Amino acid sequence: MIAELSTSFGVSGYEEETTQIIKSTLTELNINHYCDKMGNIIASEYKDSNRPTILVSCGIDEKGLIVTDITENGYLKFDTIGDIDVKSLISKRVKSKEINGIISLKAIHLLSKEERERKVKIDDLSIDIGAIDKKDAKKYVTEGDYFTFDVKYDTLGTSQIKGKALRRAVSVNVLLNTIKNKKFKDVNVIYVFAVQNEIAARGIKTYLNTMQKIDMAVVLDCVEANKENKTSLNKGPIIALSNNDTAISKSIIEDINGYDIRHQTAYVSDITAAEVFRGVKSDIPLITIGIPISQKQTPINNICINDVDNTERLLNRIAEEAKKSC
Amino acid sequence: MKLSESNSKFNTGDLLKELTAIDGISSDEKNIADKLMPYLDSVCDTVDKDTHGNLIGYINSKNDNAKTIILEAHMDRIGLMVTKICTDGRLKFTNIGGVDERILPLSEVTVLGKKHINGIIVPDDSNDASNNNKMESMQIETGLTEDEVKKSVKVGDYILINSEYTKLCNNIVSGGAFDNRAGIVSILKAVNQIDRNKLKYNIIILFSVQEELGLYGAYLAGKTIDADAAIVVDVTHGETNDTKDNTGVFPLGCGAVICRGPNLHYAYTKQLIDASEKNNIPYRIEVASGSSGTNAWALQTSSDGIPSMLISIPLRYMHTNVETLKIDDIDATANLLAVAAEGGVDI
Repeated sequence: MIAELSTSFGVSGYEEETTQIIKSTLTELNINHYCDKMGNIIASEYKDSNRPTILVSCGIDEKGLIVTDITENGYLKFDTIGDIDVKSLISKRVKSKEINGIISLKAIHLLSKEERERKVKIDDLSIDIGAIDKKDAKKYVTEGDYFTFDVKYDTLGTSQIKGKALRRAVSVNVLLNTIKNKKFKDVNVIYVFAVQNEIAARGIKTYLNTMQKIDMAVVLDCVEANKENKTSLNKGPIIALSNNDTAISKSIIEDINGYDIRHQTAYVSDITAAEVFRGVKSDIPLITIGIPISQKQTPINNICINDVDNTERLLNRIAEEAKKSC
Repeated sequence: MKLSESNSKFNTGDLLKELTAIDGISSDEKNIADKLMPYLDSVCDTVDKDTHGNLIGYINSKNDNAKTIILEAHMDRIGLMVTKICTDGRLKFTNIGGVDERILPLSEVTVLGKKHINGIIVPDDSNDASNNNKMESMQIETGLTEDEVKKSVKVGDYILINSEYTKLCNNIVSGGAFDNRAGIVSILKAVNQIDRNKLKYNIIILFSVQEELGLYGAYLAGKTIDADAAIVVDVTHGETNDTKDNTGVFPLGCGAVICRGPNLHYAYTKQLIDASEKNNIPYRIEVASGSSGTNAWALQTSSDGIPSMLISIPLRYMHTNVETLKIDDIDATANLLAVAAEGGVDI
């Protein structure tokens, strides 16, 4: 499932292929769901109005490229969708729904000394699809077309997985497994598979704007494991702390710290969905879980399998305790 | 002279894909040599492998007292090498040949240890974000512990930069080690389409080692091979969107690029150009005022001298894992080699 979610084409603003995978899985699981106007998939298990209602969300989109211009000689100029480290793009293979391409930068032999030392900028790069000229390129691509990275999903060594779009692949996988195993037994639960998580979490924002009353929310995402926030791979999910945590959030986090599930805690700023949530629903207890990821802002990411398993266990435990927490 | 495609046993793209799937990093060319051996056996009268690993195949002309011409391409490819196994199971590495370090971050690799292991090149956490990444500040993530790595890998093991043969449009393809497996394909195609009855010269096919380190294989082979001329096949730079200010770049699809200059035999080179014209083989002319940067530089002054010619195939993004070329240019080069061997060049 993670493999399928990783390799599906689902760049922010054009998530259809990933959406289809999620929808068909929900249908197989016989879970009520619908797509809202923004494209978010909302699945719900409503029991009765006496029980508390929990919202659980994650993003389903991925970073990618969008064609901004086609040059007279048939190359595609592009912009990044979501934050991408430009240096990591050089010579990577990319694909649109129609055609393969590679990120073009002239051979190092052809650079002047000055050019060699200068940092590569996005303007230096273009996509080479093998077109003869603009007219030829127009047969396959048009301005505004999306490209994703052509990266195979696989295991890496004994402990990790590697691939593109792992951020959504593992988050969605954890959520679908939680639904499948019916972990939220005693509460009403709304699952939001949100589009445009990479673009300032605009998908979840529109959902929250119109949402009915809820009692608690869990936001699931990935967090770059690094020295800066003293987190690393293989040490379990990261409970993201915030200066804006409410007293109830803090007490739930305290409970979580008592669970016998390997995890880390850190103040992290890169889960935009959590910030958006606090902006719209500041009074609702919010738990933010980040699966540690390496190289989040590049075409290929790696994640520790144990961390994904422990995230699922942690979410399941939160589900079991949910009625008490609210 | 007929140069029909149907004479050839090979589909150019399929053979290129097959050959570029093999490692063969400079000085460890065994696997690519093993791959090429049957291809040489099928067309040559005899095939030798010298101590250094050079493959040398002989095709004899039916003419008595025929002169001998070498068709040469190097079979090695650039790569990396393990310099240190770190306590977290990551690897430090250095380059073998002129690797473009700008492409390394987030490239996938295969460490060619006792057991092959996969890895991803990651920039160091503390790396300065304002500059391009330097090789010294990169590591290979293996997903293994130090102990697990040490079971399969030793310092000094070679590392293949992974590539994937990918079709773009207009018969243009992209992948790794097209430099110079494309040259090898053109020679194999040429000798398979030559009419043996018309073969004017004895042919020596030389698939050399260690070109990327400094033309070493060709220097060594040149000492022992007796020949009257050599045609070296290699790659040259292809035109891209950002090469407007560069000279010596050639548009993909322009055909065989024939090099002129003191490194190359003046009269034979002129004949190559004439032969292209006469046989409607698309070509361009490249110039080198000194070294051509190819094995022609080594062969020209080997033993008592081997008059050399150079034909290059235009290639974008040289020394990356997405080298890009147009199949038609390999075919044009093969056709020109066949014409030359059948007597199109008078040596």
